[in-house]
Amino acid sequence: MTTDNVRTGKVFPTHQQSGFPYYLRRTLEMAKRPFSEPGTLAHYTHRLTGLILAFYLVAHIMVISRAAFAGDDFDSLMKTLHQPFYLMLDWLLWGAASFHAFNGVRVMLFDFEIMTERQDTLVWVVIALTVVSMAVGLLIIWPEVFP
Amino acid sequence: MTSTASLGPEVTRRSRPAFWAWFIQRLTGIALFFLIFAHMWINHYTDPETTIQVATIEANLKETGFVIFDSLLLLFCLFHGLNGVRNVAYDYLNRDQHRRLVTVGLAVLGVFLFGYGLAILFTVTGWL
Repeated sequence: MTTDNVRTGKVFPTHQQSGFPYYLRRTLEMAKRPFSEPGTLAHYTHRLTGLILAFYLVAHIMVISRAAFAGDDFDSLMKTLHQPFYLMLDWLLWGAASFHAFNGVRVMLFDFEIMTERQDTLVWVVIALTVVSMAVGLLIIWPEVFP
Repeated sequence: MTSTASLGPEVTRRSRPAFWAWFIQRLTGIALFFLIFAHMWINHYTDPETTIQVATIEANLKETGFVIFDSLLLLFCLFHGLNGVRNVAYDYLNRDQHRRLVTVGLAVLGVFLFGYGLAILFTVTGWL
């Protein structure tokens, strides 16, 4: 089944109709769902941390390549990135990666219908594991940040 | 609802690209859980007092195992990350043309970054 777009004359299947921008409609639809559900919060946090990590991955490859290709002094670059400010950013990144990893396990359990009736509990387990992981990370960088 | 009937009777569930994207996303996710932990452990934890140095990296990359490890890490990270971005984009785009644009764009970016990353790796090992 297809529908004509009156303005452009293009023909799209029904589910691809133009009109009110789909991405805005979709955002509104998703925003109407209850945000307080642990699963929903975990879903959006997973998405946010995933996008942060994907952006970091590209930045990481570019920064490391500068030292290899542009003839920059790699060791001095690493010393710069060892300052407390960057270490704190690294710690936040470690937290994002930890949450994404632990929640990824929860998502996979959900995909294979394991412990689905306990998925709200699993969100709290994921949060607890992330907090522990971040605490360990903080213990490791503590002497570097506050010498 | 996902409908496989509209794709024709010869198209089974598992022959669809969406299945493989989902499946490989899971496989790379499991692999990255361990690979990234090892990456952090080796590069940043074994000696947290000093920063990582070129000499250490060059010494490590003399072993073929490290080169394979880094190549796999790069490949899995790029697939998992860019396919994840694609998944998010697909949630907000309904037109096939827009979706295709995102898929092709991210695929090109991924292939470029994989080649670029390997070039860096092989520059350090001296194979290039």
